[in-house]
Amino acid sequence: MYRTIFDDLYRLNREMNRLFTGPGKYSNKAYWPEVNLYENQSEYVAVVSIPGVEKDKIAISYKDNSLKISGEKGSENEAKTNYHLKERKTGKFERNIMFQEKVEGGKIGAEMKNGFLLVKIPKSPEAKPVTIAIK
Amino acid sequence: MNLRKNENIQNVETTRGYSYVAPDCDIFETDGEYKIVFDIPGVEKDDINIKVEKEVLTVTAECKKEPVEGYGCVNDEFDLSGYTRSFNLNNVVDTTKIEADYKNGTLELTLPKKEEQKTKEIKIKVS
Repeated sequence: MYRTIFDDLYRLNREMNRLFTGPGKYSNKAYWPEVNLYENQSEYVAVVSIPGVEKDKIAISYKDNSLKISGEKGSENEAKTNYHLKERKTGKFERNIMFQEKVEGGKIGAEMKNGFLLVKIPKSPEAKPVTIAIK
Repeated sequence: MNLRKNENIQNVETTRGYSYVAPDCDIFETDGEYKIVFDIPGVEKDDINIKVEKEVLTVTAECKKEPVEGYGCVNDEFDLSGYTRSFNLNNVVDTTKIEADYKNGTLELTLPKKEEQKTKEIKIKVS
């Protein structure tokens, strides 16, 4: 986690990509959280950055090789408005992740960890690489 | 007093060294206290450091561990970095009674006002 002089440029590039590939203004959701997607040979892991969201406010569903994560980040302090500063994003959010390779929808597991939602999606056996022995 | 105007903007940009960003934060005020809420995902409770020095409140937190290890990254939208942000309290907060609560990646600080800073209602007697 060391910083180079190009980090801000990378961040700008990434934010622009997110603007153009995200659902944008046509979505009725308040915001779409950042997702890091990781993979290895047997599974995908999606890490969703949703600090301050309770476990029971999140819905995860799977259909047609795509994963949908939606929920609502409420602010319990909304009623007592005497805000000096309000920067944290609140409201409904949604992200859809489409997978390139076939995944096993029935075996998806999810856990919350310090404000990150970790969703593990195992790849289907057909998608795994097959080793070929040379005779 | 508006705590927001008293933010100590630190120059945290360096070309070498640990990377810190200013986390998103909410500040609001009730009759008896100020509340500051920070979004700091990915941080363990023990890695949060809150200190008040010369009436400046500084919150520093570091992500020591990656959420997953041993995977290749396919889609990269956020970095894990440290968080730091500080506010000048200007003698309105009882600094000995600051409380902190960390839950689900959100740090909530409760800063009780000093007795003389609390809003007092004055009743006008009508005769």
